[in-house]
Amino acid sequence: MESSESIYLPRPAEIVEAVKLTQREKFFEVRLADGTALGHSPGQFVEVSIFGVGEAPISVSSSPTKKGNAFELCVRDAGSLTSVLHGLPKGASIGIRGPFGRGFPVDELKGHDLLFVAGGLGIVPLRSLINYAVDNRDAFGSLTLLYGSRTPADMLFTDEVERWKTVPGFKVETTVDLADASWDGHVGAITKLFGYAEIDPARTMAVTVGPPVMFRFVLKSLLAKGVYESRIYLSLERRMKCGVGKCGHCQVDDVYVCQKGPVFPYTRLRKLQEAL
Amino acid sequence: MHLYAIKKSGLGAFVDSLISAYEVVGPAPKEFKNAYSKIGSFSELALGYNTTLLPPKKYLIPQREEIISYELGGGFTAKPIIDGTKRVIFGVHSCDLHGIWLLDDIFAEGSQDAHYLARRGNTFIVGIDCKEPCWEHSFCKSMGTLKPAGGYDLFLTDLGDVYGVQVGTKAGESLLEHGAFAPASYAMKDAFFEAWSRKLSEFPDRINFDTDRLPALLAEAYDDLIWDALEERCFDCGACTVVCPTCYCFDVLDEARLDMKSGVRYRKWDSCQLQGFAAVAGGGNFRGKRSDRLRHRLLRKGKYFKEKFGRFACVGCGRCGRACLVHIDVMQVFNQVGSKG
Repeated sequence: MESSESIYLPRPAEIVEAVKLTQREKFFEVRLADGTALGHSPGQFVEVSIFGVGEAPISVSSSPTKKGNAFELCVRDAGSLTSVLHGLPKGASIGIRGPFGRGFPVDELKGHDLLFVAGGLGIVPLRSLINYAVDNRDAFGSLTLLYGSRTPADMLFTDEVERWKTVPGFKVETTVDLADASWDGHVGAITKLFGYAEIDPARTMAVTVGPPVMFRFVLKSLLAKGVYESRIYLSLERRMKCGVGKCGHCQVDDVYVCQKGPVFPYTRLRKLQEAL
Repeated sequence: MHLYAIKKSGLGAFVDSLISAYEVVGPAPKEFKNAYSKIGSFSELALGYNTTLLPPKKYLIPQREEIISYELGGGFTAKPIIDGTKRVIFGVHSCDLHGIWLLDDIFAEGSQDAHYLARRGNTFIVGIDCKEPCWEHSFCKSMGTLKPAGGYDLFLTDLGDVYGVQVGTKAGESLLEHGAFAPASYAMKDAFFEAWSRKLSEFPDRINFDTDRLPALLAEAYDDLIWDALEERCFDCGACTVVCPTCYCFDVLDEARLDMKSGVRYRKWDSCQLQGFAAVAGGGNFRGKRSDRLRHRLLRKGKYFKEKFGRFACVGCGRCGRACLVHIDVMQVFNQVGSKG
């Protein structure tokens, strides 16, 4: 029964870029010390380690199509690990375990129109899929992103969002809950943006990531637009402490989110009573 | 079947020989109860014990287990900590053997947990038959754990002047050289089977329905008021999970040494009954209600593991019912859930 490799041992990695994006979020480009690529698929996560502080699950934000072997994280200063991480400079060493979990079903998405619905930090994991689709533009039909933030200052990757608007066949709509003088776009809940989206239910796969309160309203809007239940994917946030299906923290009913998720088809989640 | 025997008068020499070769732990008196403890001689063992305070899981998943040591400076170097202690857990009852069997599955399934597997591989388990129901909270017979189904290296059954000894593994066979074991006589084998059939008839069936129905009954009870009713009593102290032979959830924490340049990462027992168990850094708590936490635990025990591994994650030992300050008793909850039909 013995196996000498510990599944809890992180690999050394280096922060090669660190940029503050908003008041609360910081962007990190990370490279594994052995120079290898992370080897993730869009929607997977890693465990970030800072010895002496601890470990936390963080979504990978870059697409595997990104050039070079570095990958990207975007982290909110929200807990003990992330607050120390925010203070680390370029060149600092961190530990990485993973990638873990099941990401977006890239192969099933191919050939379809994609509707991305992101609320708040949900754009961070979704960005890995969006850039994957942009980099493999021919493999997909039309692309639509509906992206809602609390305020204009909370909006992440604003330059990239502008760039996506220039990609042929990519429609981008953004909204904020609370506007300020700098904002001349939509104001209100993300569901409002569905009025601006052209959705062909026969061709559309919908992928949504956001806070739990958002899911119910987004699901309702998706179903109202005629999107098939079997073509809706959601990514769940849970406390994925160990990432390897042991510690118990991320369970939804009998399902370890770190193993079977974080991305699930809606048809699966509607049978898990603790999920939504 | 192949059965060995050892005279009761010879058991002390066997255990003392094991002590000279390995760390030996077993049930020993502690205050007014019994607890698994490291023993220095056979005389410290209380083999007629009813049930220990904690199950023997503490030797396989210690309450605090250091899993990685690290050093900082120009990055970090980290090494796994794998326990290599050769240990004998002596005197394990059938219910706890079933508990260990489930832990084996959990830590070997999917991503293998080298820390657990190393401990398990270095551990000999000598089980012993309990002769009578240990207390009113236990319902092993109903949960199908009255007899061991494996998971032991040796298993002793009291046959009067001798113990009948079943050998479960090659490792168990290697332990035989430590004592005066001999093949059991036909009369001893008869006594062995008689002891088991007597046990089967004497132990009470305390679940009022066929437990094959338990997963379906719990599924039906998912939205029942029973969880809200239990919530009014539960203090979410987590005692039930501490004493449970199959509760294994853990948290992982770092501890720096005073030089702040080195330290350890360790895991410690956690409990799904504690308020913050499913809380995330952003402030969300995905099981913030006590009733939801109680339901989660009971469904893990009576439904989820049964569906996954074919066996219940409740072995019917009754420790949780006894440890509970407000007398929430799994046996009673199962019976309540079953009473609806």
